[in-house]
Amino acid sequence: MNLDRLITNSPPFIIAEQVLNRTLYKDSWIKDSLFIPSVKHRRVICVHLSSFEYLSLKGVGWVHGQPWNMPSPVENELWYGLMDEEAAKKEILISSKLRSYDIHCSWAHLFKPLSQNELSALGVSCAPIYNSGRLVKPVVLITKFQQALRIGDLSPATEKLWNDALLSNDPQKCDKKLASKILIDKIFNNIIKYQRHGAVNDTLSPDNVTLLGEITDFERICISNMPQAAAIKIDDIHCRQRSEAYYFFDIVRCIIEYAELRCSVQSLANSVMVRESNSYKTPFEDELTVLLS
Amino acid sequence: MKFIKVVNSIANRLPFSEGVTLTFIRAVPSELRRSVILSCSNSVIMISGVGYTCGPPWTYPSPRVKRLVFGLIDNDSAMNELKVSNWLSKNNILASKVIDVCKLESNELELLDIYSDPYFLDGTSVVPSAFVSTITIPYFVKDTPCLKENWRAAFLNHFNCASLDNAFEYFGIRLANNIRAYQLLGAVNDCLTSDCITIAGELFEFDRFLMPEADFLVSGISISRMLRQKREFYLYLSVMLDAAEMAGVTTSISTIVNFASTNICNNSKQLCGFELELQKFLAN
Repeated sequence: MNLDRLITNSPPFIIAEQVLNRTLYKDSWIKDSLFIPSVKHRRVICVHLSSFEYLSLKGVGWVHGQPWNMPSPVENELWYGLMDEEAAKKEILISSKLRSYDIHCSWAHLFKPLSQNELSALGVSCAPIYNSGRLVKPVVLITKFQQALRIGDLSPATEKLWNDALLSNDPQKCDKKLASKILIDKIFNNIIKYQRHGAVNDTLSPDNVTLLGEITDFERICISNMPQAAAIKIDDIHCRQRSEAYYFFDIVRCIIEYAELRCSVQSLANSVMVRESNSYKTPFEDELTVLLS
Repeated sequence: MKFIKVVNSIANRLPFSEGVTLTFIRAVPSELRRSVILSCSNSVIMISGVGYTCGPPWTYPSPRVKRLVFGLIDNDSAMNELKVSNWLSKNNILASKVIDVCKLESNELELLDIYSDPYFLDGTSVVPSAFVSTITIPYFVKDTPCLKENWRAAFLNHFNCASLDNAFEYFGIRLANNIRAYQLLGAVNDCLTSDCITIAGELFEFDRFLMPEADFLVSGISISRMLRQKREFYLYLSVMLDAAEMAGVTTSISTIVNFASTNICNNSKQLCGFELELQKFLAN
């Protein structure tokens, strides 16, 4: 779908511009650098700042256009393509925690409330509420990435960008298989790192990891020393951590398929699993070992 | 790949396979990755439950469907596919047609490195089976992007159109009316996703397809079932956006909703969830 033609001068596009101009980035972006990374991320517009530096603006309204007051098919409660302030705050908090653990992840660091004019442009005339009756405080969440495209973002429209982004993992930028191995290695080590801090990412999927291996979308990440984790039993956390081996497998499968590599999930996953034997093994590694044995 | 050996073995014991050449085309890119497409004379068949088509390992628990051992299908599920397929066929709903269900033999399981009875994660034993179905066209709405040229050519050819915009419109109208048709009979398809619909608008993978409730004819549709039918309207929009992306056509939700409102179903007295949500949408 040619989204570029849809978005120019549409409310999400204008809102993204206006919000950017209210931030510290107001002098560091140019109009032509706004784009939609994929139709999958329906409430996100990105801006390219420089090489390996992108911002995403989440909550600017449905980028596929009117009508604005449309529920999401996957998140029943989500209307208008908006983002609630509570969700934005949570993403910022988790992003900052993960970064303090040296996890390779996107940096959600800023949110800006939508003005009344901006909401009006999306047809929101009174305070928006979820289906449950809870009030929505609409904000735009700003997140910094090294790469805007996710692993699952391959489509006919993004083919070239996707392949270039994958190749950028290879220092020589020419070998897809090597680039894929490096990418998978980054993801593998990232999962181990956050699991060693007691965290589990319940939304690990090709749609939530960028083509440079950054973990993103933190709405359901659970970190052991945060209040939400207090109510969860340690066995439950371990079980969820183990199941991340399957999600990891699914990511490897997606890379192989999209990059058109001629190899199996097993062989590619095996090639990255070389670690020192005396270190603590996370539930993820344990399960992966069983899976690959 | 070992799953191709399993496919060959199953294909050789199909009742209709004698004297027929079955040619492997490719694995089906649906989320479950357990099906393959074969050509057979002038028709296309799919065999599902042949092992994980991205393997090895050939089987492992699915990350998404908690009970499923990836790559395999349990006999209960395979029989359910057959039952739903028969119901769809009887009611002229556009869908793949399940023509056979067969249990995997031990030599076939050994090809998938399975030497003892497989179990689901919860300990329930699995009776691995395969089911064979026919489809009209071997391309899916969400398909491997590298096949886009073939996909687009097949899309044009199937709808006998010169432009992808027209084919997209016909597809949208057909899919909306297919959904209406089964919803009016009280059914709902909870897995209406673009990887489970061919570009001819045929549905396949019925593991979450719910046939009419037992008391539908007496009591009508239940509230919970109606809510699920309404949700299908949004799933339809999602499928159409994916189709637009694959076809490379420019569209908008309003355009897609216009396709959806072209109602060619005969039953005008009843309203299904899809129709109600569409009307609410148009009224807004």
